[in-house]
Amino acid sequence: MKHLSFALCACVLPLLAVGCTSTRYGDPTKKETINADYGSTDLQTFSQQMVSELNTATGLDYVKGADVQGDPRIVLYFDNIYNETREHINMGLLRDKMIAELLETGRYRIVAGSLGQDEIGEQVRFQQGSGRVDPEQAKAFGRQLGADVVIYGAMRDITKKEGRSLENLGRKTKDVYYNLFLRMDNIETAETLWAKDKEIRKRQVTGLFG
Amino acid sequence: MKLPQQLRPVRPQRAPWLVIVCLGVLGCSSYNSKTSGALSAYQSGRFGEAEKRFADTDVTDSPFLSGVEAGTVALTAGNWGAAVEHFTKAVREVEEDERQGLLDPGGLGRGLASLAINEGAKAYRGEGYERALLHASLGLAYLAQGQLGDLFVEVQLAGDLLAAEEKLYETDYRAGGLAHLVSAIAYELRGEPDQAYIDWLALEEKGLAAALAGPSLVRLARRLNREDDLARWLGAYGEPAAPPEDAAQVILIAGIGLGPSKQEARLDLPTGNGLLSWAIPRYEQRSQAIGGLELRAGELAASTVVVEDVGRVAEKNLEDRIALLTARSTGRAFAKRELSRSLEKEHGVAGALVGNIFSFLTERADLRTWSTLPDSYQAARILLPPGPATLSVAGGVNVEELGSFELTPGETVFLLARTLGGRIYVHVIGGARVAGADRLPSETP
Repeated sequence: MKHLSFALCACVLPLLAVGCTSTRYGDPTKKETINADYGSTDLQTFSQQMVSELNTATGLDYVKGADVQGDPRIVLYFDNIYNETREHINMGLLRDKMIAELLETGRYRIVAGSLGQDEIGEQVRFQQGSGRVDPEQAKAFGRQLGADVVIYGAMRDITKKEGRSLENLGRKTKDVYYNLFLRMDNIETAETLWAKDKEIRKRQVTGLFG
Repeated sequence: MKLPQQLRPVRPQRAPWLVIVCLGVLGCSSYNSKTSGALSAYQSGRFGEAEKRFADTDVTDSPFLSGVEAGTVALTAGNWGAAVEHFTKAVREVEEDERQGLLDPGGLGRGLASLAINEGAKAYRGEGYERALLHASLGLAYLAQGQLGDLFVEVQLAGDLLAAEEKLYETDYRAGGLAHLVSAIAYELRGEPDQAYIDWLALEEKGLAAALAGPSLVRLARRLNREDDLARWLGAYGEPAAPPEDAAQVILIAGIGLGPSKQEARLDLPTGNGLLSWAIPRYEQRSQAIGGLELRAGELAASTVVVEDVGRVAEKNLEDRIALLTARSTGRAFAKRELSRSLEKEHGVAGALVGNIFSFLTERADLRTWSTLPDSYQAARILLPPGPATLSVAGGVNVEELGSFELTPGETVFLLARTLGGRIYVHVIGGARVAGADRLPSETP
């Protein structure tokens, strides 16, 4: 009887433990492999790789010093990265992460995008028209930096799925290939100064019992 | 004198069996009978009464169903705040299940070992397609309130849930059309044509709403410089009529009729050892007085196309689960027969009789379903030059005059509609009503 009770406990306790809910913080840089969909690790990988390439690209050297104030940094406008995959991916997150990392390199000055221009416009109108701001300190339109270069690009994917069959012992397979392509054009000359693509491939295999 | 075993009175300590029988009988009135009054009020346009009845969990026996049914009534009545409140209650009831389902789609199908008296004894958490439609419906309520951020959250949840369901059953439900449509429109409003393209593409691939998705894909492929895709869509759908300069648009999203009702299919098989009872649900289509609507804006008109065939999705969903439901019913049938045999051994003929009655009365198909869902969601769009426009919606022999509106360049006006029987209920979201052009009040909540 004692043995039976012990065996029952041994079976039931692990089940109870599995069934418990828990919440804990995790390492945001840890590799995430829950499924083959686009995830945080892909975002971090693409951003780090592209920023590293942009930081060391020698083809951009001649743009240095173009600024009349003698600042050697390249004035950059970061345009859209279009989502050409079949899943909704927040491309704004990739763009913002890259902007933050590019600023840290010290090689670029980045001018505001459309959202920033809306905020700036509202603030300038407030400073100019509300009567609440010292007129000598009120900022005006017409003194923004003109970008030297523009970056834009697209994320694309190729997805293939294989259903369950006797040949693959009832396993499902999903293979996803992501390609991020970015290019930088000289705004004055329309010359493409830099272009790079980065790839990620993921494979998800689901066994017969999930 | 010693009485024969069969004629001995039931001993007091065995009385719990009788209690079980009574409880089983009491708990066996079906969802259809319990909610018939509320549904009838809804169909008759008595929305206040219907919402109140459905919201009462004593009527539905399910917080989830109370939330979705009352939310649908409020949505039909144009009571957006109440719709958000009811739908949110339903979401809260199932959000933990949803999280688990998204992480582990296989977990959704487990539970074969359920030892419930019948399927209805368990809490109702909604079918997968119902949970997806819950998020899409909540999205519509947020759209009506102009809360685009909340709308995005809901349509993305709807999309994730459908993906998890289809992973589980490896089937193409052709579901999620409403969520894709709302998502596509919302992304276009937010100025993200690349994301909108994904939803239009999903609709096209599911064979839904081609009359809306085709021209949208042509327009967006051209705008996004996707030359290969553009050639493909032009080949399939041709060049759509050029929209007027600075065009405004009117989009009609309509729930048409009432979806199929769940009924019971049962089999009672007397055997030498007791009664075996099986009961499983089946869907019964309802006749629809209005099959589709026509959106009219001045001289222009567009017929609605099916975005999501809710009735078909419900049937397909049940087909996928019917083997599991039958297996459970079979398990219970044999378990209850064993119970009858035990009772017979203990109490003779009286025990067997009680056992068989218990089997017959308690084996009930689970008829719980989101009964106020429409048979289909349909949509139509008209692009028109900015300026005044007289809007109306026609269906069957009825025309719902909405009045005149001043449309600004690039503006989007939404019409949220529902048909019940021969009546059309429409609410206008956006657009400035032209003074003195009051709407004919036929749908006032």
